[in-house]
Amino acid sequence: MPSLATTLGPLRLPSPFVLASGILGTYEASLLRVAAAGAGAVTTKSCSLAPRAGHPTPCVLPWRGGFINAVGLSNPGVAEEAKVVRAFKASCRTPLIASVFGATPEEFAQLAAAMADAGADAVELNVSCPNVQSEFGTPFAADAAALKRVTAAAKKALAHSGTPLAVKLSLQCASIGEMARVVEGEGADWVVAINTVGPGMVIDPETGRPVLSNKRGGVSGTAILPLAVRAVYDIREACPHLPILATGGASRLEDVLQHFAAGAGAVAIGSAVADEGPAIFTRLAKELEEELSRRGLGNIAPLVGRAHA
Amino acid sequence: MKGSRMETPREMHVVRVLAVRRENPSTVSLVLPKTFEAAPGRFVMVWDVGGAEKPFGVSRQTATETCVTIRAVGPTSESLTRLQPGDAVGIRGPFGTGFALAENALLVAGGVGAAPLRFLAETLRQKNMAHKWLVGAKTADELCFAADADGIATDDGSRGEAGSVVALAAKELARGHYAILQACGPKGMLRAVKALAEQAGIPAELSVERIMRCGVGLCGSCALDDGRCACREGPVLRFG
Ligand SMILES: Cc1cc2nc3c(=O)[nH]c(=O)nc-3n(C[C@H](O)[C@H](O)[C@H](O)COP(=O)(O)OP(=O)(O)OC[C@H]3O[C@@H](n4cnc5c(N)ncnc54)[C@H](O)[C@@H]3O)c2cc1C
Ligand SMILES: Cc1cc2nc3c(=O)[nH]c(=O)nc-3n(C[C@H](O)[C@H](O)[C@H](O)COP(=O)(O)O)c2cc1C
Ligand code: FES
Repeated sequence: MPSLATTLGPLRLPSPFVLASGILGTYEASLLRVAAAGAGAVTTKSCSLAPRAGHPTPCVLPWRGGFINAVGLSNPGVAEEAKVVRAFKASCRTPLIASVFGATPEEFAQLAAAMADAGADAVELNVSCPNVQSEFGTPFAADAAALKRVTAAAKKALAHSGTPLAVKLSLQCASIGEMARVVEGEGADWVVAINTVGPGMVIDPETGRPVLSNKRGGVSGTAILPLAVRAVYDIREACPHLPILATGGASRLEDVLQHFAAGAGAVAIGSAVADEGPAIFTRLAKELEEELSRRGLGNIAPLVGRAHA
Repeated sequence: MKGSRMETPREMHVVRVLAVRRENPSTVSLVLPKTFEAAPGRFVMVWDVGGAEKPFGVSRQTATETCVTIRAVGPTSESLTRLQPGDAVGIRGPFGTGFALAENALLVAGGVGAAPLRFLAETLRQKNMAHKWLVGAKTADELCFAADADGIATDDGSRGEAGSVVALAAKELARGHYAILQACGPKGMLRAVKALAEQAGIPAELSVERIMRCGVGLCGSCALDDGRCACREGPVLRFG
């Protein structure tokens, strides 16, 4: 029987399929259900110091190629989120990655420390949300100097607990490989690539009005698969030893195999949860096991980075 | 346009209101062109163009029309109830689970909860399946589709039996042979219907309400206590 176990730096995952941040991640009951379906790890919805209501509806829209969303980082704030993390960790052994976002390096540091305290198995810095630009300005992920400061501040805040640190990158920058090098230099244990792409816009052709209340939103799902695969490839090329959690457009095993080949050691599933629910984690695990058997492989390692051979 | 929507019905599309029917002083039905196939109990997201988007149960579907029935209780629902024929409104769906089409069903509706049950009752009637449907509300002014129902109850006795529609359902259960209870209405009413089904030893299907933002099982805002999504694995939940 092949093993699905994989690693992201120091973090061991029983399966390479991870719940992406912002998907069902508001209540521990939802996260527990995803874990029970066999996810290798769950990522919580990005949380900030203070609670945020987010943008009004319409804020998530399905379209032909996937989804566009401007949820606006709605979250209950770090104090409530810490309770969710504690409750999850009290009843489940599946690794939990806590996603956080702040307006300054100091805020990121404070949030990272709070999540480590609450028992998160890793902290993921969301420096790349395209939906709150009017509020926060250019995402940190697009500015190498700012990205360096944020990563360094969070790494320092986690030094005491030793909690692994991940940084979620975006395509909204000159070179994603360059950004990966920056965060690797500041001690990030792995990178997550990519966040939603854009911002984009959906206009109702009948009335000519943008449909999202925020007008602009991040594009996800099948439409961004080739973009995400290329991003993973670029990062692997720039940083051959930096682990990568691929995120973007994966719904079928063949998509996952592309991400592995580009250099990802694990793959997060976001938009595809809409069609199948948490059962997608069970299906992909079963299909990957069959694929490994078919190829006579004991684990996924030989599939990772094949595109660079 | 219509054909392509049938293939990708989940996408938001704007249609023109064909007609508006007043059901009671606070509630109207919007008659819209049919752009996808729904089923009783399933819901749609309705966009008040330029404003917010909210979930509503489909209250009727014919070969050419889809109806939603909206009670004005807040800013979005109020704005939607002011729409006139020819006005633009956005719609996407259908989403979620539906009611089973079962023989000997007892349908129990509270207030605007009658919307999805009217679609169910009409479907059962077309299929010649035995059923009875009861509607209730606080007052006669808050009743929906009372003229189509087989039994009426109002808390204040202003129309039909005085008392709750659940009490009326209990009487009906004692009188006839029923295989399932199907209900939509306020939380307290649903709890009472569930207890009634347990007593009678028959299953219940309850349509529950949660805050919905995406309608497709992504955002997590509609989570039920057990972690399921009310938008995807509900709104119709089966018990027993
Ligand atoms: C699956 C599903 C199906 C639904 N189907 C229908 C339907 O067929 N017809 C319909 O009218 N509504 C239906 N709703 C409710 C609807 O989606 C909105 O919540 C409601 O219209 C209020 O929205 P609003 O923005 O106008 O007011 P909000 O600002 O959201 O609410 C204003 C106030 O009214 C209260 N309120 C909310 N809903 C009701 C209610 N039904 N009765 C009394 N008070 C209420 C709120 O708690 C709040 O205090 C459904 C909801 C769900 C989840
Ligand atoms: C509704 C929704 C909410 C999201 N919220 C967050 C979030 O809070 N933090 C974050 O880092 N990414 C968020 N994302 C981005 C996803 O984690 C993921 O990076 C992106 O959707 C691409 O993956 P996919 O194509 O598999 O969906 C969100 C995506 C969606 C669709
Ligand atoms: S409304 Fe978004 S998950 Fe149900």
